[in-house]
Amino acid sequence: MRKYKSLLFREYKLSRNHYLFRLVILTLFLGLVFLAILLNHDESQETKNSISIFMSLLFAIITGFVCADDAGVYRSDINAGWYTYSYCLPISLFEKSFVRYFIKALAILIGAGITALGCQIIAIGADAEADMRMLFVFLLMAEIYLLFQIVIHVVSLMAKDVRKSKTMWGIVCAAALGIIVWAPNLISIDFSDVPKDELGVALPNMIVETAMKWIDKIDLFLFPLLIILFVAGFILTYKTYERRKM
Amino acid sequence: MGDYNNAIEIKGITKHFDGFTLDNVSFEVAKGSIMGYIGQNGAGKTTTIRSLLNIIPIDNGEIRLLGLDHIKDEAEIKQRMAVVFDELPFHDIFTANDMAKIFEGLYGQWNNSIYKEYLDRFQLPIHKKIGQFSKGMQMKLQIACALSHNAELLIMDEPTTGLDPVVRDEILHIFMEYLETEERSILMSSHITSDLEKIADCVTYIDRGKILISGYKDEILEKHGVIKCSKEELKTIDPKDIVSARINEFGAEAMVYDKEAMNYKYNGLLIDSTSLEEIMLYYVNKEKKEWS
Repeated sequence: MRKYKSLLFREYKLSRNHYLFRLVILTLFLGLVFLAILLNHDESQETKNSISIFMSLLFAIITGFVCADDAGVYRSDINAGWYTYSYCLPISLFEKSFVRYFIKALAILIGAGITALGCQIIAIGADAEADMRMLFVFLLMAEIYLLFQIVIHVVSLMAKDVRKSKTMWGIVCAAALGIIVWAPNLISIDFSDVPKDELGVALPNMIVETAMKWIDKIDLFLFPLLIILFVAGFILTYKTYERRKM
Repeated sequence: MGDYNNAIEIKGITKHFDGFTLDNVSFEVAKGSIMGYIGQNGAGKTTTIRSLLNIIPIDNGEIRLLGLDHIKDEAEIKQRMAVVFDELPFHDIFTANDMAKIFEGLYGQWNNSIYKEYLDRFQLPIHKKIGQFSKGMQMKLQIACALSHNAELLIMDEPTTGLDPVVRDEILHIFMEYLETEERSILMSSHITSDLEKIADCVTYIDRGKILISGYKDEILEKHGVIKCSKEELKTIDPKDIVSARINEFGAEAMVYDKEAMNYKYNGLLIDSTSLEEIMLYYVNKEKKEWS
């Protein structure tokens, strides 16, 4: 336990400023949203509900990405020389990988709390009811980011040299571009019937409706998927540390 | 503390890279001694040390540290040893106090009182960020961390490089004090031969991945000598008796393997004592035989 306490202290000190900065950004975002809602307090309840739910969706998306980020500790360890030095210390690969993912899990847990709180604050400002399905949106965004990190691990493990690494990255970027181009086909928003002057109000509603439709289809899978991504990420992190310096 | 005669035993280690090979490197560091591992930049000192620490895997050979297998018993070995690199491997944002909090959880034998004593002795501030330390202070901090958990084996990769003579002397003195208990051993790589002349019991030379010479420092210094002669006189010396010879416009200087024997064999010639630095120079040019 003492060893984990020391390693967690180290990770915490190295990532503290990173997470604090993100907390400030999220707080500022919440502040701006609150201000936007207050400035529209004369609008109809329907409009305020639309603003509330759309802003909650945005907040959940941003929080999801921000909390799944690993604070750059791995990269800063390499730059400081600690990455190599740590192989001279009595720290096992399991311990290194566990600490990394413990902090990540903690960040995601706190992020879920921040998402819930943020959505409540936005709803209170708009005199609306908070939609707690935003927690699933948060989870989905965090999982997309975790998946992205897993892809990075796989590429760095499979690429034995710089040339192969560049080839693999080229393939990954092409695949990502293909997904981005194809993804809008999944979202069928037909706003051709909406009058232009009502588009400003209708479009956010349609986006939220479409997003929630998808969330309702996949919400049951998100928790098991989170566990799978954590296990996969942990194993790949372990393998990355196992590879050492060749 | 374990029951073993040699703190480090390396037998026939080989490691291939593009353009460089660590070729059949073998040597031993006896318990209670300081081994100086000498070589030019790029000779293979750091590669050898990283192989010992299992940072890079070897292609062939056997390594035993503290009498244990360096891979199978890695966890136990690392509890009982400490490493010092030429550059400080700690993040700039940490303080000396933070490093104590990190290391006290990692090492079962970590002693905070001893650590604080070293910090006082080195005059290192406890709460100042490491990023604001000078190079000398950074090295002292790394050494304080290495010496504060009763490590039986200290492995150091060029710990005095880039330091001024006063700091180097202070650090070398600390190492000698640390070895006052005969249960401790040091392997120290360096290209600053004068440091190793001061403290090493044994030296091993490596050049281009191969061991040139290994043995007790005093014996090596006693045995080798430098003949100063003319170019004509050099021709009278059996090439098998010399390591290599340096030729200049005034004459020649040839290093001999056995000073005492050569005094009898070439009694007309003057044979001077030598230094580790000179031995390194002449051995590095051994294949050329004559150089300038």
